[in-house]
Amino acid sequence: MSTDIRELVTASMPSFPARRIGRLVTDTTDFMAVGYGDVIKLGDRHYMVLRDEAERRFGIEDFKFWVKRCRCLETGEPAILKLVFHEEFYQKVGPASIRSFRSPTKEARILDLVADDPRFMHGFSLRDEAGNLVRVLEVIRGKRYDEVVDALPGNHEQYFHESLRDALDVFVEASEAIGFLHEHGEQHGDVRRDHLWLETRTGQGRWLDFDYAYEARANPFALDLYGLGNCLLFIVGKRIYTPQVFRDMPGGGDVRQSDFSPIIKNRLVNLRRLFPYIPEPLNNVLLHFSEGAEVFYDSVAEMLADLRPCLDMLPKPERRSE
Amino acid sequence: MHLLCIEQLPSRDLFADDEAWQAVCTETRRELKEFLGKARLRLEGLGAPDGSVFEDYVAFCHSPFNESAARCSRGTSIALEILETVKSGGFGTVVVGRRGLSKAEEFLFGSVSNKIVHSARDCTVWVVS
Repeated sequence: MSTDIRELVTASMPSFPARRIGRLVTDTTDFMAVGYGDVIKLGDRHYMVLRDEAERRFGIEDFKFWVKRCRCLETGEPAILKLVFHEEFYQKVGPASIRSFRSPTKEARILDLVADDPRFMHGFSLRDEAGNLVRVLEVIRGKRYDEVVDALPGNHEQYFHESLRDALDVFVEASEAIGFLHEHGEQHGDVRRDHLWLETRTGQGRWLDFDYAYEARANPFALDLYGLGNCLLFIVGKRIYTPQVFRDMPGGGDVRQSDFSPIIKNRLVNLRRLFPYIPEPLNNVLLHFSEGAEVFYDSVAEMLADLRPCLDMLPKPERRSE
Repeated sequence: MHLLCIEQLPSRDLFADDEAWQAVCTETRRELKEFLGKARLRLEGLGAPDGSVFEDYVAFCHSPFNESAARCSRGTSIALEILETVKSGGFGTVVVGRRGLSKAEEFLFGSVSNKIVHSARDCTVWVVS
């Protein structure tokens, strides 16, 4: 068996150092023991493990040892393999602690649901020989959408006039995608700025990572809506504004406590205090996510019903002729 | 007078295996039905005539128990399901408790009483603190 694997690796990846070729893994239960050079067998495909995936948070690499960056030996295509990790943990969201779970079955189910939907990461799931439900995910070539927005040139006013309209178009489509999940009784579970990517080739916004599940309350989709509100706030503001950021800006002295997020108390939501050219209806959408709100959005559809008409109130950027 | 319970059971996604999920669902259902029964007895003890208090239990559509009832709860909005019951049953008043959520909790999890207050039509709403 080991000889067969060496031959397969050598034939498929001739530049891979032969001395680093590891073992053939058919049972991924002990995912910590699966590392560089090992080959995971799933169905009739073999995946060479290149490294553990990591998220960069607060400047530190946070390794996800159950997520392996791989190359399929049969096709040569890169792939991300998510191995089974039944983690139960508490997400801290502002003052609230939310009991959460990592669910391979949930992610596998959503991958099937969105298999033909370009607004989401694609992939499929297969069981290894021990019955672990492994998800095989495509590698999206692109950038985090918030980083794309952050990198747009100019100050906020220039951004408002030249780019916000297009930026919100992407957000509206991304929100519709989350609404689609809700209509099918599914939560995304981890709507965050860094889980919305812009694919370079197509300019398409695509959501990643659907494996979080959490205990449902009165509105099982409220946490996803909270995440969308955070994304919207970043896109309208081109960044997040805290007292340290806006202290010396015009309008900064007019900010009230009700202008902040009820969850992250130093995050300014009422951006019209700083940028009076933001149309009031658009700012009103933001205010639904503020401490001062009387009623919060209950569904993505409600939010989009308010947001869509705002697009036509924004400056239309001049298109350069080809 | 109808005592209504819209069952909300944990999703299968939150458990590693079926056995653990079924155990929690069984216990949750037992607690909810026991609570409903105690509430009926309490009302009767306070003077409601025998046979005038009914228990309506709407089971969760996605429970592990193969529900056969004509109606089940989808679990997407407890408040709207209560209001559907009010409308279909022709009730004139809905009484709900307030759990005393903070603004942040209401924002993150939703509030049944707040949603009912804002969405109810053609009925009286009592919110009990």
